[in-house]
Amino acid sequence: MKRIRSWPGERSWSVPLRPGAADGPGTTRVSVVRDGRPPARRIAAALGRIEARKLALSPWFLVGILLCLATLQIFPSIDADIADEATSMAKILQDMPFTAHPFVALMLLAGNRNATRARRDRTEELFHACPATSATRAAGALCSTWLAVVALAAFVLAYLWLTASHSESDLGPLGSAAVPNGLTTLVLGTGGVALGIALGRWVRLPLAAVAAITVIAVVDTWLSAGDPGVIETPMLLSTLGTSGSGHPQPVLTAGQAWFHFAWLAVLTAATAIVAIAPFGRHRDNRVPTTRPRP
Amino acid sequence: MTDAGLAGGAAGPAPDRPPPTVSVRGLRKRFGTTVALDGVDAAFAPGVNGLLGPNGAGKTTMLRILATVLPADAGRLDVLGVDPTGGDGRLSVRRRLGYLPQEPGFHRRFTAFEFVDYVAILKEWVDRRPRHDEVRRVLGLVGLEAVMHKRIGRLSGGMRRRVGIAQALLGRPELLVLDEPTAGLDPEQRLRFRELLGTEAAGATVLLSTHQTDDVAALCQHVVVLLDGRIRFSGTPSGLAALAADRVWLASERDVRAELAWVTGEGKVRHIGEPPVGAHLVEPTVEDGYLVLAGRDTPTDADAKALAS
Repeated sequence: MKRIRSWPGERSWSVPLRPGAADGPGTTRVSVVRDGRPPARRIAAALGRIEARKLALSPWFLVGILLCLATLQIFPSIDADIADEATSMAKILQDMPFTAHPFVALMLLAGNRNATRARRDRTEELFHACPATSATRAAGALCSTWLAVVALAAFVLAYLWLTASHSESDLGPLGSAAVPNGLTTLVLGTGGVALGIALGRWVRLPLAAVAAITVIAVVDTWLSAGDPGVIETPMLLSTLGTSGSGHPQPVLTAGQAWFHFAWLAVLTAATAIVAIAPFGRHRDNRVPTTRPRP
Repeated sequence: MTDAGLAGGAAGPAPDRPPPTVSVRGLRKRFGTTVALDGVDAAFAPGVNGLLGPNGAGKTTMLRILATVLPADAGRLDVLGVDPTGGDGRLSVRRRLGYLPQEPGFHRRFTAFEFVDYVAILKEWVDRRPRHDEVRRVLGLVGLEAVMHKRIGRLSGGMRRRVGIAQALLGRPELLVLDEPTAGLDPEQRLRFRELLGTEAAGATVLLSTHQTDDVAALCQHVVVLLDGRIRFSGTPSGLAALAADRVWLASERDVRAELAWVTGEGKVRHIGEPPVGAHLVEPTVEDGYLVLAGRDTPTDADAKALAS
């Protein structure tokens, strides 16, 4: 029989002979057995590799990277030019969470798009018939946050190096708060992706991620407002830190920097827990509201 | 109730068929005021089991319930020896299930390989090498090796359908639930699908919903006809065709007394119902039997007696 090729490069369907192919009705069929059953974390890790690839290829991530590159092109030289007592390496590192906010916002959008992919593409019914739950799928998406952390780490290091290389004067040491300030920037990236996933999983409004970014911007600006030259506790509860007030602020002490980091780490952990929580309608992967088409 | 007969109650398999692996008793499902399933009793043994019925008959609802994605309002289910209404039972079924929804949906930015790979992970294939081997195998089975690295958005509708079939075959599942698998496939691809199902799904219990009566005649060992949420026939395809025995005629002109009549490719008029003048009796097909069944509300006693004899 002549085999019709219906698509360029496509071959006809084939049924290779293999052991078991001659099984007939009534014989006991055994699925392909794999040793043991993998724990959810291994499934999430495997999903995470695909999710990270999709995150890296998402337009939001690419825009974020371009924004970072533009920032690196412009601001380190300005920071170096205006270097004085108020601008030191320690202060620049302290301002990194603020500088990273546009990228974090775009990562939130990218994470949200990944988390809502099944709903947008109507693959939920198919996925619900699989053993892995939607919580595991969300955990898989959460596993892609390392990409945001790596990108932010590279951004911070590049920013500091470029500023130092542009400056003719000594900008001083990174200071005793360098570690918490650096970690704060990185945890913001994780938090952005986690919030995008949590919103994607639990909030069905299409513009929920955009609304969240707006709310965060408003609340942050309100929290970080304070007297010039004085660091107040509400500033440390803002994701922006002390730079959102628009006034020059002193360098954080190590204690203050650790407090700011701890607050954002707790917030991020809580968001991540909500993102992968296995309760409510997601507990058993069922879609009770699905209606048949007439 | 016999296997080959009109169904109003329980439908059990014939003695020569293996014992059922999937059975439902008194299955009910309602969506608001719409009754999708109204006390369905059915049993399915290993082999290909066809579900026939018009749109809205309840086929998809029944398959969704058996695929564990939709809870039933009432009724008892036994799927592969477990009750899927409980968490453990549901998980057990999902681990042995291959499911193709009516409208599966695809991630258009994924390649065919990535999509099937993603589903394979959801089916707990975590080790990369054997998983990738299995993904290549199932994509090869449906003839998509050459285009497996193309984005799904660039594939034709028929090829996307084959991606859906490929993911359902992952891991040689014991239960295959396929909701209109041949929709969108061209005739040649449908033949390939039949060939594939005959070998790849051998030994499995296959539940296949379709509007293609010729698929049922060619593939199924057992067929169930659902009308208005109730089973109206449960038996063999030849048993379904037999419902139209002595009622299918070929004539040169349309007769007003015919229940159904249409012009064939040869220019003759195929009648179902009372014999027109000058007509001659022809062998009924599964489609004729289905049309006879769908053309009336309830089976008559005469039908049942005729079948029993």
